[in-house]
Amino acid sequence: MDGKIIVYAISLIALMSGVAGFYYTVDVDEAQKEFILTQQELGNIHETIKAAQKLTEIRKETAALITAAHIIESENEAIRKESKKLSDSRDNEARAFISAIQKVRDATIGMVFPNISLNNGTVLKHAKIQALDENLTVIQHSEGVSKIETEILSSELQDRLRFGFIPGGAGSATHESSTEFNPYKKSSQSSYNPRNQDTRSDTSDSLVRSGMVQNQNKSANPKSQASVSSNRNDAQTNGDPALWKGVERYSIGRAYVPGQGWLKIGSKGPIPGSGCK
Amino acid sequence: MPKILLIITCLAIVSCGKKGQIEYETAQLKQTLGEQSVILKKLQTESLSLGHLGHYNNPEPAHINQLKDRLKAMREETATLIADRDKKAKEVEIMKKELEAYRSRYF
Repeated sequence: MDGKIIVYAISLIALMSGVAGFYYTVDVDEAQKEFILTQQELGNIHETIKAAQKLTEIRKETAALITAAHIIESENEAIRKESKKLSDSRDNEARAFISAIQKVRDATIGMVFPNISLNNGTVLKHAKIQALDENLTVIQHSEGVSKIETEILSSELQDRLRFGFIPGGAGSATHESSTEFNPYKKSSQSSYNPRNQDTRSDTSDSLVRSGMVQNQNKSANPKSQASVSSNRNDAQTNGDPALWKGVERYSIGRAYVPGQGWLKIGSKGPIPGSGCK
Repeated sequence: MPKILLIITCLAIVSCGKKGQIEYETAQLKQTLGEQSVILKKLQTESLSLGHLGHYNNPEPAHINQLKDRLKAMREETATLIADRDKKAKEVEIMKKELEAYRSRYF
């Protein structure tokens, strides 16, 4: 009987140990699973941190670049405003210049000069300017009244009257279409168009006729056709550096050549930008 | 019989140690996980503190190049604008002097 009891007890203990061992191994398995899951989570969070670090760095750089762009843009805007002010100032100066020229022209009408030299060599004595415009000047002098092409007036008078001159170099003596302020547009709309009139009118005298004949001979001679207009047209395409030799004075974007008036300097004008004396 | 019991006891002790070791290592990993989570949150907060960057809110390296090109173009524009402004200032100055000279000659 005692032996049986001992055997049963031992069997019971073995059974209980087996059950305990089974549950224990299940616990170990669960712990192992949890360990593996935690490891995976840790791996994931490492990847996430790397991505977040990269994103943050790129965002920081982007923010810095955007800020720099804003600063540069604001600087550019300020410069644009300054530039606009300067443009306005330039336009105002140009208007003032035009106004001054107009006043001088008005004052010149009726002015008496002891001598007026023309580019064709003629000298008019005791000359009084009766009327003038871009094309023709009417002068009363000791030998009568003459209608003279304005462009053959002396360089001093040309400088005084400044026909074809646009302050700031917005144009030249040629009638160019310009989007900028062009104060001569009005004068070119003048109803008085002496080019279409017979300049050899009754009032013209021998002196003027000699000047006109000289001019007509010029136009009749093909070689001399390379005068004002053709010179300009030819030079408009390439520019003629030789024109610099005849330049009497120059300003922003234009130069004064006696007999040709104010010509534009640069790629759009007859005088090339290079070769300035 | 005693030998069998001894072997079983040894196995049980070793097994007990294994579970404890796994649990310890898991605890260590969880602690690291917590620390990494804090770092991730900091990074996310730092990224958010930069604000909304509009079109470039989720930037890519190509966007950086795009922005750098834009900045380069803007700097070139600045140089052009400065040159233009200086040119205009010079023109105004020259025109003032010329007008003054003209007035002094003929007024």
